[in-house]
Amino acid sequence: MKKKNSKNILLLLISAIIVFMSGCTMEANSFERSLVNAANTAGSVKRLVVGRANDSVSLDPSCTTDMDSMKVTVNILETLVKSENEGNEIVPCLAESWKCSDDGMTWVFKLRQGIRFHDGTVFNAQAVVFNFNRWMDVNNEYHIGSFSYWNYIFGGFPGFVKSVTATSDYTIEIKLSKPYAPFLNALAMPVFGIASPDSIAKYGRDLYEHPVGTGPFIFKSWEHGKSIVLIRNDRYWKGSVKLEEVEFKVIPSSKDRLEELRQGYVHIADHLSPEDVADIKYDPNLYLYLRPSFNVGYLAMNNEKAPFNTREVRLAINHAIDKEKLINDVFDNLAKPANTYIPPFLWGYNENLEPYEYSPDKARQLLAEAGFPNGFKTTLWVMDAARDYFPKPWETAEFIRENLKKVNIDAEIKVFNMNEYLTRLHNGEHELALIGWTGDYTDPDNFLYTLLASENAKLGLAGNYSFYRSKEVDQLLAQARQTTNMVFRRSLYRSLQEIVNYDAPSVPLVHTMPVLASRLSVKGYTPQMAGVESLENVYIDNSYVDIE
Amino acid sequence: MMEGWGTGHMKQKIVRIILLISLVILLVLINTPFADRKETKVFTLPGQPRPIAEMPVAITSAGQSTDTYIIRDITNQLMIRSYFMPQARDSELKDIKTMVFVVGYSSLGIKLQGLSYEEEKLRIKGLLEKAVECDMTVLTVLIGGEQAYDNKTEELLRLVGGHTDYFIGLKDSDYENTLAELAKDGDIPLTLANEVNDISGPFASAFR
Repeated sequence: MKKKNSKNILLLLISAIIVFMSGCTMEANSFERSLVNAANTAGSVKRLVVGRANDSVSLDPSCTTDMDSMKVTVNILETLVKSENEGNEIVPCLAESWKCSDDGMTWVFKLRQGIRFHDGTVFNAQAVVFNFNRWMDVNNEYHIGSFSYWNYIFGGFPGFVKSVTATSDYTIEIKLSKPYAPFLNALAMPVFGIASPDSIAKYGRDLYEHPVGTGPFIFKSWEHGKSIVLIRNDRYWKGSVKLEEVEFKVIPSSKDRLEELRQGYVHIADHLSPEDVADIKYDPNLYLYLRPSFNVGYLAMNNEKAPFNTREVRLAINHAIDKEKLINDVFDNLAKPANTYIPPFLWGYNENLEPYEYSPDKARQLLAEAGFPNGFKTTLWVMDAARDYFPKPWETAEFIRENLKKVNIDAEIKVFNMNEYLTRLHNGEHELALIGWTGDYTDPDNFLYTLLASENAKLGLAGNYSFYRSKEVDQLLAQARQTTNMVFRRSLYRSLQEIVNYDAPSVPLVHTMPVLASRLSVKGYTPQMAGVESLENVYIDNSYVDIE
Repeated sequence: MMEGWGTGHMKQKIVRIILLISLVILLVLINTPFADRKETKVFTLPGQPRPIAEMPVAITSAGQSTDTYIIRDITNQLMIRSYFMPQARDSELKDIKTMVFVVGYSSLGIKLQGLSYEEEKLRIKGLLEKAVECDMTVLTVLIGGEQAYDNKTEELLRLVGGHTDYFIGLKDSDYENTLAELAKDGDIPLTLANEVNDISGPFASAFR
């Protein structure tokens, strides 16, 4: 018996050793954590967690310009048409086809049938007209909020959209008072997601936290400042998606976001710090993504406030900032210095612009000429969390303050949360403010009209945070919108940039490459140039370990 | 007695079999859900974060395919000062700061230029030596065109690859793996565009 027992014990020992050896790639505590996590996550493997720097400002996309809001709403509300292939192609979405009159002023959209909103109501032409009327008509009872994007694109309320009519249950006709070259690109923006008319009527002012659309995910909950949860729309018209639930979890610190990604508590993390790129690249469990530099981060000078209403002062500040050092010290060289307000690879970019050289001496001289030989005091505003164009906003502000100090400009830094920040900027309350823009589609109009048109310098709705007004620039912007001749448009935008460069309304600082990463288990995720992507094709491959 | 011994032996066998089966199950359990799946990660950039190339530029072919004309057009659209020299020789590269090799073997192209494949390789080697000597930036673009996989294109790609500062290719092309391998081995930045029209962005990013 003893012999038999010892044989069995020996066999058991060998088994234990083999078992131990087979698991030797994992450390003991990692193994325990794996077991605990596996137990905890059993049955919830179709739940995707996105770790992000900021909470959404509003889940009513028509009333916000905040990208972290669009990142959520793009999964809930759908648009008539959709932009694909990095904005180079417009494809059908809620509209299955469309046609445009020869003069470019009348657009007819044929809508898909058989689609229902998440609240069970029917999607049809009346619903689309209801949404357009809410956006464009200031007298509409549901026109509650800023509708800034409508104003940026269509130049007021109703702007150049003359009428939107349902010509049948599933056909709408949009009449414009002038042609607009990037009209379809504009309609593809998540901001023009179609909401259920019943929900608009039901929630009124609270619509911003009750989005009801036709998209692949249904809004479930929002714990402000912490988390937004969406669940799968099982009746989605394209067929049900693979993920059952998505959580957008706010993790303000970049280090914490990366750590949670490494530990497997989040699957995708955005706005990571440029200095973490090398670590992520060589981490065997993570994919590193860089978005194209389709943005501009700039120092907005309020041209309506003294002393920034003086060109020499604005030139002085342009000369005072050492962009190369800023990029090296704060952006870890993952950005390009900006000479103008559109990215260098976008058509219409004027590569001949002379950048303002870094020269504190020249800056001091210009200040003296402007009547400020001893400099002046001002305030420099900045947001409290990372954005695509400013991954380290506080450090950027500190760098600018130090540069300004060298030319005797004493700038006091003030920090705001994004919601309050945008409201104050829209109202033109700032003197100097760090802000930026990520393009929605590959047309210079999207950058230049938004950031430079007088039309967009209206208090309360401004996107032109420099409050810059130039008749010449306005004319060129308007001309470029009304022609579809690309050669002509290109030349108009190039001329416009020369004028703006001379006027120096603000200081274009950087075009960044935003850093994000995912676990290897995340499949079907393709970060888009415009910074907003639907998660409808994303799934989690369960054969990967999501825990370290 | 014999029967008793036989029964004991059988029991022992059964215990051993059970233990072995348990062992196999344990091994499967441990390896399947927890072990990382090995996957070759290819890191691609959407473009250069900082400019790496200067003008003037010489655009040449490596293999004499017509893809070179596509890059000439892109360069013109981007207003990048360039010389279109599909059959450039090292002696013609005065003041050139950046060499762009557009890789693609075309037997017809080689024939039309009155070259042999070996002569084409020698020409490219000469250009690469000149590029090293004059500290030029080398950009390598591989479009692939409509042609199927070709050994000679692969060979030319590998010839130029070792001296390249930045690769631009197309996703899902026949040469994606070779590009990825060259990029990984040489720690050379690589951009894979979705389609030919998307090459313009990364190409511009090398200059501004």
